[in-house]
Amino acid sequence: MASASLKELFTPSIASEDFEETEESIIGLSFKYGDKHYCTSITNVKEIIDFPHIIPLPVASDKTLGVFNLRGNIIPVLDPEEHLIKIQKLHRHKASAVFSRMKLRLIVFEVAPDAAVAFPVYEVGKCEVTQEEATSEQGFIRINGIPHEKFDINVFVGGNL
Amino acid sequence: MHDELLNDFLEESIDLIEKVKSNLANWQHLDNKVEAIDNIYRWVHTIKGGCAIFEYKETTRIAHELETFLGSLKERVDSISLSDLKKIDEGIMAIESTFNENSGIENSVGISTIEEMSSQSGTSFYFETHFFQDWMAGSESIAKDLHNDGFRFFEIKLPTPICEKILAKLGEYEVFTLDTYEKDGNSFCLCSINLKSNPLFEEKANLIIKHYEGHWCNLIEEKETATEVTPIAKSVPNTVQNQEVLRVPLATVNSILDHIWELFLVRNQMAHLFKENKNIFKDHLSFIQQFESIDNVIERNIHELESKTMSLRLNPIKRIFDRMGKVVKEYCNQSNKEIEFVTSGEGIDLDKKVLDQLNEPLIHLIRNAIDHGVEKSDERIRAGKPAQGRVELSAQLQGNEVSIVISDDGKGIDGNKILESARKKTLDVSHISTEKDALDLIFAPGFSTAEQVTDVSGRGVGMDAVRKSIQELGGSISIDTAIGKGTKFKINLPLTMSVSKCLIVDIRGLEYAFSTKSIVAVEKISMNQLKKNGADLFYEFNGEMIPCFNVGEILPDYRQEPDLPTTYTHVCVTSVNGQTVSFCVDEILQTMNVVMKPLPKIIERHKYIAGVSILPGGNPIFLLNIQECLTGTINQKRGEFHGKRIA
Repeated sequence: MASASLKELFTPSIASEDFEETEESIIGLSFKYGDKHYCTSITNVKEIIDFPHIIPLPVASDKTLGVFNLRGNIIPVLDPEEHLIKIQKLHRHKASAVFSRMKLRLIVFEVAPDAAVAFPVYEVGKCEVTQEEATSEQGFIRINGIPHEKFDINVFVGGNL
Repeated sequence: MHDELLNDFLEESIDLIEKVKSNLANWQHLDNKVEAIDNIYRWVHTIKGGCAIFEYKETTRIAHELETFLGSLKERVDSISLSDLKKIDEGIMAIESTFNENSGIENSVGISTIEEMSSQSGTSFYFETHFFQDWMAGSESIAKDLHNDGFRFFEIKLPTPICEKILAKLGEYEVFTLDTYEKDGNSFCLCSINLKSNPLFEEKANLIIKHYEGHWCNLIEEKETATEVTPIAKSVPNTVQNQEVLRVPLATVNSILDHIWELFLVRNQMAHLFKENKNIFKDHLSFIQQFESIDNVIERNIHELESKTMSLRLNPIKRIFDRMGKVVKEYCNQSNKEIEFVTSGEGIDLDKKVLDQLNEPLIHLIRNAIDHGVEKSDERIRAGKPAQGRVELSAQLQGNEVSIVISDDGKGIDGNKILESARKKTLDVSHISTEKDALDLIFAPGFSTAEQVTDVSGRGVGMDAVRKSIQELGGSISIDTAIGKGTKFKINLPLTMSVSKCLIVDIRGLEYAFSTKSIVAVEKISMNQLKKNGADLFYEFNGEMIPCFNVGEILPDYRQEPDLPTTYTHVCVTSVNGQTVSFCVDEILQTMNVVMKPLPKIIERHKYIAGVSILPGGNPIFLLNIQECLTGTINQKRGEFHGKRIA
């Protein structure tokens, strides 16, 4: 997790009708991948979209599944296999089909000016995080009684920008 | 807030620098030189103050020195010499270069526009004769190109009845006729002769001129003919000075271009959609015709808009050539060599992005020419050469490309020595069969023949990076050398980096695009037309058997049924490292103009990927660097990579 406090990270850039930020709570984004729950800041989240048609890279890449067209912008899709879960290795070209079956969605993060990346997730939704948990040094946040691992997109892309 | 202030200061400073330059350029025509030197002093003082505030220590120091020097000039304005002006100019250039390094403020169209105008002003045309005004009206660029190539112009008077015969005879003396004008039974002919390729032509031309009552025509100001780099700016005519210049940040121009390309893609999508659903309108022919007509207009206008906007991004290549002049001076001092640096073709404009990326490769090539190419004076004298070496940097337009040549008259490169050095470094040389192959080794990573590492070069890094940089720009580099005579590196680059004509193909179930620029021929053939020799394939092209490679071998397989046998294939003929080769793809889908977009930052750069674009259907498509793909295929076939170290 980045050194900034979650209070800073969890700025309400996505309007929420379900949750309202208070002095005690802030808004985050929870999602699931594999059998784990994660929670991320909404600071860099640009949008959440249905899984699009992904064009794979013509060369092997450890970090990128492929790219897709988001209203004229070419957005790379990160390969979560390398980062989050250790599932059986699939042939890269079949990844798109596999993801489609899993009804994945993409969180599009803006990681730098004019640079966005997408991350495939499922069961994505907004969540309320208490200030206490947000500022805690622990690597997880409890949401509805379930521990969610803190997720920071910058950790994944930091070295590549 | 700080950034805003800094930007304002830099903008203002650049304006002041331009004012100083303008005064220097027009020095001889200035009525009040006292006022001018006062102004320059004040402007430099302003720049110094700002630099101190923003802690540009080095720039402050330079500005302070320049200010002191200007202060001394104020005492003797009447005796200010050319050398004094040179010093001011050098000081101003030094300040400007620190700004460029510190802020990237050079990304400003205004600066380039001024320089461009300055550069153009140096090549303005004027006439001693009025006969060829009409010709000049439509042929400025031809005259300019001819002039850059070394041609000079003269006018002669010939009796009309025998004019043709005499001109034909003069043609044998390499005199070209550009235009003729008939008056009172005489023909006045505008001719040109190349004095660069053969200086003796001048004597011939003088004889011809004398014999036929002619005179030299200054179609181009003679001072432009001086090809050596001088730090003094070219003179700017008053008409140009009075033009208003709007300073627009490069980012704004790029943003406009992005919108234009977006428009271009949307238009492609619209046309694609219409084509796909044309049958819906089959009973409405007039609608189809009107739609297609409007679509043509939109396409034409988008292209025009793109072309005009792209031209805003063009910068004179002179900028980088001037910089190279300084590089030569610096390295000459370091290496104690006497070198004459000659440039030509500075009038050519290049996309700023291309220019920026060209800087490092050019520095590297020039550095190598000085350090490894040109010999020391005593060695040159022993070899029967002039004591002073020569490094030449030239640019020439060739269609939609610019050809940049860096040549020296040094000792040349010995292919055998390269091979020997490669063996010593345990590089794999088993595939080297020709001298050209051996010379190509200098582009291999980590290769260097330099016996010792100097401050100038010889660290064994760089030539591979040079080639990589050039290829990233969609260009190519080749080498031509002769032992004892010198070496010539030729770089071919596209003028702009925007829309390029591509072939859309299917390889192993995925669509790819590659530039049609280097494709000589494309043909659909049955598989049995490919001849086999073991596992090697050959294709008969123009009566010759040429190797045929399957680029699919290095690309991932996305086919639904990969093992499906095919009865036909498509071959594309191209050349790799000067050798004609062919490669096959599964399907050729179409040719189309695509907008090359840069790869997203997160994606690792790979030599096979030239860029990415969006197809009319909306899907992204990767642009392949077919030259690199073929090299990869060839190397894979050999079971090794070029230049790879053997363990």
